[in-house]
Amino acid sequence: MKSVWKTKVAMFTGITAMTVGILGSGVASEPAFASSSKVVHLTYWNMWSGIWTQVVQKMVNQFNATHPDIQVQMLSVPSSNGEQKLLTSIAAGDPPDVFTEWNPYVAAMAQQNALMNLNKFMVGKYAGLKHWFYPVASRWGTYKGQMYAMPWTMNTFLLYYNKTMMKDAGLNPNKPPKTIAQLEQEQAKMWKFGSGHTVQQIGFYPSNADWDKYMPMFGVTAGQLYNGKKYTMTGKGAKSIMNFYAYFKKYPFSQVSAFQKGLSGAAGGSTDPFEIGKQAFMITGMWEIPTIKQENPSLQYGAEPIPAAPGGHPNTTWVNGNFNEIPKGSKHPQQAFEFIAWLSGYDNAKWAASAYPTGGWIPNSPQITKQPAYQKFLNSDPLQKPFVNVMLNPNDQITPVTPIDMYFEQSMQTNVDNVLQGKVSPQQALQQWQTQLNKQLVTTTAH
Amino acid sequence: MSVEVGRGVVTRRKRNPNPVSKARQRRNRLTGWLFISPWVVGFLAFALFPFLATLFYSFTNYNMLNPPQFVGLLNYKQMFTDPLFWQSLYNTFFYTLIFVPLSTVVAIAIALLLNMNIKGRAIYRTIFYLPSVVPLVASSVLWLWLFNPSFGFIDAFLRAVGIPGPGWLYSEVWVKPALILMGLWGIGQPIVIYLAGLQGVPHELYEAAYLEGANAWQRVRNITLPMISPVILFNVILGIIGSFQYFTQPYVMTQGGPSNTSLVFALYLYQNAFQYLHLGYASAMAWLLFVIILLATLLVFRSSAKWVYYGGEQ
Repeated sequence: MKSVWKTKVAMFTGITAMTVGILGSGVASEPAFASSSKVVHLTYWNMWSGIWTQVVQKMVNQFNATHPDIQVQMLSVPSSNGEQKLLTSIAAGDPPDVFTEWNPYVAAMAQQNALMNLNKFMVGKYAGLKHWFYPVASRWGTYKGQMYAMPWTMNTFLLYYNKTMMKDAGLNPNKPPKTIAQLEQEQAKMWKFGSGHTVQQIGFYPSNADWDKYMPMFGVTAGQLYNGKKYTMTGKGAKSIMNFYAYFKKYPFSQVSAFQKGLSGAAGGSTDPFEIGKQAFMITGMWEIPTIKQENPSLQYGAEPIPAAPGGHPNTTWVNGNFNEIPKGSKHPQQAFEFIAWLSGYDNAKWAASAYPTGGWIPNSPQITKQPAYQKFLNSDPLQKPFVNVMLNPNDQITPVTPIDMYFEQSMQTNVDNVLQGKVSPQQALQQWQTQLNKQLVTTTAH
Repeated sequence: MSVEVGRGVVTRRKRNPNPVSKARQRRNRLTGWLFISPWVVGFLAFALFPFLATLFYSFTNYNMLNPPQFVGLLNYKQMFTDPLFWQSLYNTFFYTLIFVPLSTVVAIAIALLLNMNIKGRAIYRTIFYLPSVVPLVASSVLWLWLFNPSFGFIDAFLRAVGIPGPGWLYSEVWVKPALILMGLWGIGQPIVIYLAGLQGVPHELYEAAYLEGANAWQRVRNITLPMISPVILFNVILGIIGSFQYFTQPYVMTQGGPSNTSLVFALYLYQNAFQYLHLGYASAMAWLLFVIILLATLLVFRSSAKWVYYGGEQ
């Protein structure tokens, strides 16, 4: 009897030990690498999927091939909760060495002391990095004067116009609108409705997520909206952006969003009405070009800098992009910095100039743009050029970099929706938005 | 756990005049604990500890990266002045108050039909249960297609009969009804439980009623429903709990839009926790939800004395 009991105990101790062992093994594997040789192994996370993973993996492979003492292992985390995984890994003390960010989380994380200050690394052979980037590019990743996210590749935005639809409306297809007033007038001719107010074709309709993208065309600067302490959303420029939205309240809101979002929802977010020739004008990024090439190559279209409103600036763009961060707790920050500086093309412009075109990417630095390889890419398709040219404009803008940027985006959509539906006046919407933002700012920065 | 182990020993001692030796008892107890130890350890580490930790965090400002700071009842006070909190609470109540009664009626009706003695009954039963096997995210994406105003099957059908589609997920008015409609598609689980309940209703009751001249509706009303009322209670409570925690479908399909009309409580809680990094506030919200669910469940239990019939007790 006694021996049976002992067996039982032994069995269960064994099972428990096994369970603990399995749970623990994930953590325990780390030191095995480090001790093997002088080679430093970096963990690199990004949120790309599908074909983009291959584009970026290729670049990582090229780094590994040219840097025998630093080996980077790339891991794709889901874009729906990449930051969440990053945060938990930082909190657990086991973060990746490099993370590619494209959502406006930089200030929020920097404020929580979760990211390394990249300026501290810009000494010695990296001192020149401070002047390497397009000025607007570095502003996106900079919080309180310090860089926390290094520009890698940029997104810029232009007005796309459908030449066929312009011709059908009796307009000159080679003379896209130059002013906001012209855009409003011309687009009005292109709307088509079906039975029961269903939308069949759109002229132009401003997206509720684009309020900040219109900043430069209305002459609004990040500094006007946020002074480092609080938001001011009721200024003249901000009001003219909201008035621009209010102009479109005459179109049926839910039918339009059903039409637009229905299309993109059907194709997993990759099809918009412009691509299939159902929208005359659209403001979007350079990625639209390869998508149209693939989805609807016969589409007759052009792209030019977004028209400016009175008081706004022509040939400008709002900018965001892909930025590399080194999370606090990275075990090899120096090597991580070497890796992200290399990806940014610093001391390496020739490589970047030939690698970036594989993703249709816009460089972070004029030094890369002027390389023959990149110029060759630009000349291969005249549509690409204006996307890069707008990077040079001193009036380019970004959304103010603050710890509540994610909330800024969410609340933007609700308040803009209210204006588009005519529920509130532009003035009321901005007032409410301002109150919401400053309240959120207080609760977020209270500690 | 310890209570039950102890009680077992006590009753045995009563029955047996020769008490088991003390050492043997202790050994038995230890063996019992060892047997359930994997579960106990898992429960303590992954359920009880996080559960209590959120209670602590609900009184703090916490963002995962820095140590929590005690703020007393501030998070709870903040809820009352947060319009989105009220909006999300309203959305969740709207969903629960319509979905739970509606799904109960529909599930019972379907179970009654599936309980009929017809050809191919097993096939029908399988068909109605099938949606419950599909993972929630997959079925959400599927319904995203069905509701699609441009290419969706539902709107194509409506257009064919001359009705313009309401825009479903993109309409402030229709987004909640659309989600409820979609929820009805996945009630295979309660249907199966109702079916089991229906099969437990003694046949002689129906025979007697039939002889007395009761028609079909009278038989359902006076025999079937009272006899399966404990099953209804069980399903209603599960339905209430599930509805208050409703999250996946709006998270995948609408992200709370348009204009926050599908921002349910759990989704807003998630946004606060993982998008705005207000984990303290989110924890407070979670506890409030817990209290709401507890009260709702208690309320249903209390009322059950009036409408639930346990045959064995009388």
